[in-house]
Amino acid sequence: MPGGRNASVIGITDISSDFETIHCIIVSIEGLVLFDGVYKGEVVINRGIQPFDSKEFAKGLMNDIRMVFFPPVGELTGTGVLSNGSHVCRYRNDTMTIVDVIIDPNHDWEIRQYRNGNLNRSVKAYIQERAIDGVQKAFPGRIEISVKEKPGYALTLRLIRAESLNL
Amino acid sequence: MKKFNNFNILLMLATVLVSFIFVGWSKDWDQLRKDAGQINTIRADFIQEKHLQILSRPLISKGVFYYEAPGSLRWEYQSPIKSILLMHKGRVTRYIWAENGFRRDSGLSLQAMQIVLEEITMWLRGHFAENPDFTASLEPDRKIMLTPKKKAFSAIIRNIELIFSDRPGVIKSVTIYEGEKSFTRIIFKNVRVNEVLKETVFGAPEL
Repeated sequence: MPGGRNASVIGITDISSDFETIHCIIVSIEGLVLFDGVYKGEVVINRGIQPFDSKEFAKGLMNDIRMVFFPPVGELTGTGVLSNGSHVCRYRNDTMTIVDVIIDPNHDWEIRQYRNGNLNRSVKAYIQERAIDGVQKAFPGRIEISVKEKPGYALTLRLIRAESLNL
Repeated sequence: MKKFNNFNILLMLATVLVSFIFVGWSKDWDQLRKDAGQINTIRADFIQEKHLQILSRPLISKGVFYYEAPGSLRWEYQSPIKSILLMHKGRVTRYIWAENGFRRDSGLSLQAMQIVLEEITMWLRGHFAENPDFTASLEPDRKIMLTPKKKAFSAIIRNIELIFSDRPGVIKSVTIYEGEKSFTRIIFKNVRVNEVLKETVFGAPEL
């Protein structure tokens, strides 16, 4: 975080890519619910405790989750293979924003978002890493999110467990 | 209205839990005060269940707790996230396990943690009625119910239920209710009182 500070929390996220809905809860290690928010086209905060109570935080969090788990917004404008064998799909959202989705030969994947030609946000998913409690369902064991635009921050997400929900 | 942040709430919870967990059951507050004065050291394993409507089954955390009078504390989570909260000789630190070992957590206010230490000391001396944040009531079946006095706090924590075991000096569980379908239950096991603890228990982990 800005100023070199760091903190660890537990996140619980219920995602429907079909309906593009998100329900996200952040819990302290001691079990206290710090944030409970829903995205259904707009962000609704059910509960928020400082510093997790701002609309800006909620929007940023939902944007990060959408970037990781939902298809990129915009049109597919190109595909190709990089020199290291990774496959890449390029999406263009508007005249300023480009998103590259990259799948490595070992099935790790990466999303890079460029704005005005500069990398401003990226996601790297490590599919080979194991979940802490062993329940994984093809989810990556670790995801790293890096945001360059101010104030700038980095998130490392370690998977505790992932479960499919039969709705 | 006073705004509660993450740390203030944890501070209150830590104060209340540590204070009550090991004083033992009694039918009156006077006896509880006397029992509290007999505690020198504590060691206990704990299992924490986080129940949420969004979860198909509770999130389980496990760890171990140490206390030594007058003010040394180690609250250690061993899974799923390793973390250690230490209070010793007036210093308060917290460590989180990263990829290659523990790193110091800079997200906490050390000044606020100092207050935790002072509050715990007060409670462990048996001054239960002096906590301004909770109303405490003795109930049947070895239960104590704690209810927040302030509206701003009760919006976050509805109440805290402590169940004592039939073994003197040992609590069975603590349940913190945040909403109808959101609560945290901490179950204590292997509680050992007044055993000698190694001083390294309250030292920083290797970084």
